[in-house]
Amino acid sequence: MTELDLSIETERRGRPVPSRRRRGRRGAVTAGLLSGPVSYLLVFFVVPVVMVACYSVGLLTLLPQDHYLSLRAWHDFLFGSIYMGVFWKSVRMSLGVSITSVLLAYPVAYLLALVAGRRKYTLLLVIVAPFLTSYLLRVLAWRVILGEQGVVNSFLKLVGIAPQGWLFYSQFAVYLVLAYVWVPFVALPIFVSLEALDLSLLEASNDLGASRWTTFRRVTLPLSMPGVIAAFVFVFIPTLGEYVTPLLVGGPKGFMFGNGIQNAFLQGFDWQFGSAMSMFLIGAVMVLMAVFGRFVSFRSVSE
Amino acid sequence: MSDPTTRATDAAISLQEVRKSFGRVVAVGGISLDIADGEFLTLLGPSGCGKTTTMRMIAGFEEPDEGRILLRGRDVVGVPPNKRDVNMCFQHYALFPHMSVQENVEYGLKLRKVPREERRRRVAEMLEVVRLEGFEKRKPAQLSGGQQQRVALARALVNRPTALLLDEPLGALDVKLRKQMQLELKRIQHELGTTFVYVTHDQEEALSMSDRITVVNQGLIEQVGRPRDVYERPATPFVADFVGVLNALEVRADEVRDGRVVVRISDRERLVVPTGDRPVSAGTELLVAVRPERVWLRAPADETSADSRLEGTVRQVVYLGTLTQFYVDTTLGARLVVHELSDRRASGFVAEDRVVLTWDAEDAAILRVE
Repeated sequence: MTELDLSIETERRGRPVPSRRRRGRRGAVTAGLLSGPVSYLLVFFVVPVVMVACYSVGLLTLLPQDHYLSLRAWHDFLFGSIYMGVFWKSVRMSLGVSITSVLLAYPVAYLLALVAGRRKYTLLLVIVAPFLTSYLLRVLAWRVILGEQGVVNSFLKLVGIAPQGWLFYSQFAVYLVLAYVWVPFVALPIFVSLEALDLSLLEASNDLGASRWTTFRRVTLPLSMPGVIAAFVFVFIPTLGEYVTPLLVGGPKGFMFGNGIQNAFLQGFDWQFGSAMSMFLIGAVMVLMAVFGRFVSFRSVSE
Repeated sequence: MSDPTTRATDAAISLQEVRKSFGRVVAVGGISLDIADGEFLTLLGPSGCGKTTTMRMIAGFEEPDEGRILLRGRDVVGVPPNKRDVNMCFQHYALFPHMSVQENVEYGLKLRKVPREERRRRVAEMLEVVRLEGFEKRKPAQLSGGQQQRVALARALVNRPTALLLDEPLGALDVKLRKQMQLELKRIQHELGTTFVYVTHDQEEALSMSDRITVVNQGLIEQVGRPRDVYERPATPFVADFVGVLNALEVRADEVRDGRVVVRISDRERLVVPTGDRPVSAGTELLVAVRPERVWLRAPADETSADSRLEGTVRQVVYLGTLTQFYVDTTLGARLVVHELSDRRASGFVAEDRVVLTWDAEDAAILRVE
């Protein structure tokens, strides 16, 4: 037995055998490297979320004397308020925005990945160039275009058509502006999945008798679905909590769930109610992420 | 097997003066070739010689700048790949990763609106031919390289094409599997009687599988012929070099007699080479080739009746398993490679041994007349 052990030692000689102490040190290094981001997330993400959760059930309150455990806000929100309606409206609008963005971004990504050839990275740069401007500025710019005295309406007045009210402070404006903001962003994951496509698959399909359209439908589209789903999720989840764009171009008609939360905190001073809404949104997003995540990973496994 | 000029009408595929350039680069510089029905024809050449471009023009992925391509007598220039009755086996298989084996194989049939029942039957039949029964539900990623290769074959052959085009299909497989698949391909081709057009840069693959080999170099055909002809009677120095190991000797003819050239080197050394149909007379400069395995190594004292006899010194001995390779510096100055079976009759020469190289006149050929 001892001899056997010796022989193993001999075999290993020359290669550093990780000792227990060294392994321990390596563990310490890993922990040290991770401690930064982990504590950052803890302090600025987990703790605030827990605090919001506490606010929603009255464990924390704006005024110290009021605090007691209560599900009042949750009950009011879920059963007695207009905000569930606003939530579903936001879901519908987010769906609309996501689908619109993906539909608009797909041809762009396709063009870049499969048609543009060597120029694709230059064009990609052009497409992401709007990101150099602040999100807020890009949204505000649309006020200049769509507003009552805006570019479009001034032009219409010039050619003798009455100004169109539905252009601004409307759901349409929210759709338009959000889709505009998201398209270059969601083109990226679709671009990545299309660029990874083995072009000989398209030739194989063509060779086996498929037209270009059939090849797109049966090969290109299914194989780029992971990118499409990722793009969809990228848009859907942030849009569900969106409040700046509806605030700036949506008006009352474009009012979304995020605006509801803002109202509860800043106009109603009902932090408990606002926190319940926030927690509900976080929960809804997490459920959606889990659903989409399973769908996406299922797809990649099946390939 | 067939003379290109006489089989213009009943050939499965006929290329007529086909040219193709990419920008200023000439990929195919005028190729004419008839491929007979049921033939296994190999396009053999180094990378960039135009063999793949030629195949892609037959498939329809590239259009020739000039010339005609006939499939069963019909000019298909300008017809897109999906309207051509040939199918291709891609280098890296190009199986659809999101489809099962069954779905991959029936892809072409579905597009041709073959009824479901017939589709099932033909897919099952073809999977039996490629010996993949029971793999219908697997995804390509769950198959080994060899199995993926078989699926690619089945997917193309199930459509019963006029010809199957294979673009270096075995390149991605390891040596052992490649040998096995070579036999399999040959068996499948024999079983189905489909015309195979096979592109490879591997001369051994070409020699072992083909009915005819077309050696392509710099966009032009160097030689078309049966494997044995291409190997034993290479038409050009390029063919001799590319197909097998080239032993080339530059000599001057001293005498031409009875269809043979005699080169006298010294009173104990001479070369005898058949003239073939070359115009040779006394005094002509020649390039003569002899295959390494046709040369015998003997001790200087041995008596021999062989036609050609050349003396030299062994410089290096390389043991290759079945074969032993000798590099011998001859009195002519050229270094010759000699292959000897590593069996019990092996000569056992070592480096620096003086040896005599002998071979029969028929085992040498004239590659070029200056």
